[in-house]
Amino acid sequence: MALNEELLLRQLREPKTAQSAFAVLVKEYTEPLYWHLRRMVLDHDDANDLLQNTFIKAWTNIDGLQGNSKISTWLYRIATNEALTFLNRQNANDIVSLDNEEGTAVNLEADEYFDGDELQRRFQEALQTLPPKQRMVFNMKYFDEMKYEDMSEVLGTSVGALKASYHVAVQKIAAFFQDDI
Amino acid sequence: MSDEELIKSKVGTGNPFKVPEGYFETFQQQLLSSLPERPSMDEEPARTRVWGRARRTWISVAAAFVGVVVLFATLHQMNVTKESVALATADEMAFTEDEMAEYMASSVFDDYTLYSYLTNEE
Repeated sequence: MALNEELLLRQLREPKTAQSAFAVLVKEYTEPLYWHLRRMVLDHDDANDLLQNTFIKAWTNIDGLQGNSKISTWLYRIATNEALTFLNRQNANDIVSLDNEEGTAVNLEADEYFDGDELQRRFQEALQTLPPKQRMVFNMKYFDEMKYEDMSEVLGTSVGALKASYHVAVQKIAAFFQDDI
Repeated sequence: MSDEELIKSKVGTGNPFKVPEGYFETFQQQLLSSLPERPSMDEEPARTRVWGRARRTWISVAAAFVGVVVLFATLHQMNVTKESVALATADEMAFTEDEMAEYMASSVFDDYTLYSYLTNEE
């Protein structure tokens, strides 16, 4: 269902209709935002926490939504910031040795909410070797097929830089699979 | 084959992750039932904002009115001053018509003498 963004924005700003309009927003964007977060943090419980934070921040900062911004890119921007902040904090607290290359694969193998085969697990392991922001670019382009212009609004990075980042990310992941051949 | 095509040929774009059953429906219900109060939704700040806007408008109108009054007062004062000077000069140097008529009527000069006087003839 295509949202009438202009109407929805007016309703979000009107006290009488804000809550019902926000419910529409939640229904529309829960799944895409969840998967956006889950692909970054891998763990379901972590993704759930970040998703809650994302919507609560959106609810309390509706005024921060400018008229010229799409609601979707605004929400993705909040979610992206939540994910990157979480990952930076996690990296700082991580006590796992950097030499443990099997860390991610082992975690996913034990994860009841991961349904992929060995190739998929190794694919996720390869993705984890990318810097968080580059991994975000890869995910948004490869899985979400997001336009670079929208991605630029979400990440605050130029379209040219995003294209370059995606190109490098794809090269790295492809090299990983070429080693397998 | 491009690098992207290679990756897609190996793992595709499918989703290997799962969620607990009914997760998304439960999530939405729980979230919407526990939304915090929004500061921007309170009436007080809205009234303050409206009052602030109205007050600014009235202050602007009042300032403009005072400015106009001062301007008129200044101009009026300037005119009064000019008029006073003009009147003073007139008082010193001019006769009224009535005064002139009375003077002419009471003049001891006959018509010929008066004519001579006025034309400077001797």
